[in-house]
Amino acid sequence: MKFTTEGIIFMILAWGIVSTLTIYCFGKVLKTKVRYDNQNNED
Amino acid sequence: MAKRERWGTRIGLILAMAGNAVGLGNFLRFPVQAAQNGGGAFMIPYFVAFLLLGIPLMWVEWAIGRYGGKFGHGSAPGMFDAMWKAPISKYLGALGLFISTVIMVYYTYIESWTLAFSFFSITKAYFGETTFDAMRSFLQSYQGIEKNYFQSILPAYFFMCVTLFINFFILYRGISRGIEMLAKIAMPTLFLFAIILVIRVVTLGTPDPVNHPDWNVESGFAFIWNPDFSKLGDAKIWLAAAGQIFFTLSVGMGTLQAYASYLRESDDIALSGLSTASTNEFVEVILGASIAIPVAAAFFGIETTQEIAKGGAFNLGFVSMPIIFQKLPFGEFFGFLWFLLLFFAGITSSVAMAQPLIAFLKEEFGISHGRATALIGFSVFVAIQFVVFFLKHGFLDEMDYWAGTFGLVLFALFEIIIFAWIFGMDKGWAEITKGADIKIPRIFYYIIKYITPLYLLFIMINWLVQDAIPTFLMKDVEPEDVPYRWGARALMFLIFTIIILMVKTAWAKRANKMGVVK
Repeated sequence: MKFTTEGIIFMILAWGIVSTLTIYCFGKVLKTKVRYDNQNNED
Repeated sequence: MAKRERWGTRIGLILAMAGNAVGLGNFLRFPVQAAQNGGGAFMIPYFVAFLLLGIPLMWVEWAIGRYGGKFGHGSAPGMFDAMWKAPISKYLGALGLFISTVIMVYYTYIESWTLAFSFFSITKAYFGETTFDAMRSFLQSYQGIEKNYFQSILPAYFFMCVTLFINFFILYRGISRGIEMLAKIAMPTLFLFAIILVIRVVTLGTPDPVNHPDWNVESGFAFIWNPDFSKLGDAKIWLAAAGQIFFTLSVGMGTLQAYASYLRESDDIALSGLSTASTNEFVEVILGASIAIPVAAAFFGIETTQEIAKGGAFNLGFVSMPIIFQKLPFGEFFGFLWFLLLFFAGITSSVAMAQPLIAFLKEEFGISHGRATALIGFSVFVAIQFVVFFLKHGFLDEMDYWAGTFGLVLFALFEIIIFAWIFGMDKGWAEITKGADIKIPRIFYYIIKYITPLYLLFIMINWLVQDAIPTFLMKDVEPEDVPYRWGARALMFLIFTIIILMVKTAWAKRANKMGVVK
């Protein structure tokens, strides 16, 4: 079975969408450093 | 209200949530589904389902969890009760406890196979079993279905006990020191192992250019990604894509809500939820699709790979892959990585399945964390005996269908109706966007309110007609397996009844307490 041009396009598109979303999310997460640990400031 | 545990770090929470979502299905189910349902064209309904079903449900479950946590609830009965003050709501929530508990019972057993096979890889135990029949026989003798390489079920039982012990030891350590620490170790390791395996697979090229010049990795990628647009008109493809998105994200199980309940009221859920979903997709679409099927195509050719794919995920993971490892230089090492990778994917999911019930026992009955963990550990140990000893009679399959397939959709349908229509979409939207680190497009308000419930209803009705009725009537079940299948149903009924009774008792206790206070 040959890897067709459409197949390559679909693979690159799918990988591109997923990678972009992941990089965007983690970029944002790392920018907004939040520490949830509230062992010391529990109500 | 008693002091609740909290997550240590945001990245830890996201990794734990992603670990919950990333499971065996990412590496075994997805590539098979894609290849069988239109290749690259499958990604069109897949991404549509991700947008209309996966992401909305992810946000809804995070919102329900954080909202319930505000009232000290870490499990669905209390969360549903907090959102909808009707006597039935807590019983609908009980379904969430039931599903995660039942899935944990059989999932832990499958997880133990991956641990065992990583050991068998490094010790080369299955080396020499070079045909499909021989390897299938090796697996079945391990499972106690036949006697061949293994003369008893003792090795499987041993690895099951080890896996259960590891699971409950992690759970015993609690949210931050147990589950979060596991995620921080297991998830990066999983990524590392997967990347090593992908590099190994991609650089394989054509392993036997003289005898089989057309057996190569490229044809495996072609098998997964070459689009077949004619299949897009088939409703089954859309249903398969929705099902894959649904299962891969671990929604409809009550576990995401349990994890989210350990957030504070103002903590972001929009970005964290999206990060969880995207991490899962990265593992599935990029890493998951680049290992098992391409390597099978390189060593067996495309026709045999198609047959392997038809045989299902277990066939691919536990029969085909070990044969391939025997053909690879340092195959024992790559086999060890592959099965340990599956083990990490499994354990980060299975610990999440016990968490709702642990939270329920602690919060509603005031049982200490250690006792609640031990009690559930013992109960799972008792229930798992049936799965281990009656595996060949379809005990696991029966539980997987009713709890792990049908139950998930049913529960998700209940929760989205309660969230969007009873709790109210305005309040629901305010919950999702509260403390958000990203701006969620307003269109998701309407998607969550109208489209996601309809999508779920569509899946539900289709499965009801296509699968549930024939499965209930045991149409394709061997006559000798029928009593065991009924046994599985009886066990599930017993678990459900116990959970319902516990919920009833907890609320009666709470009503008495409030009466005394008044």
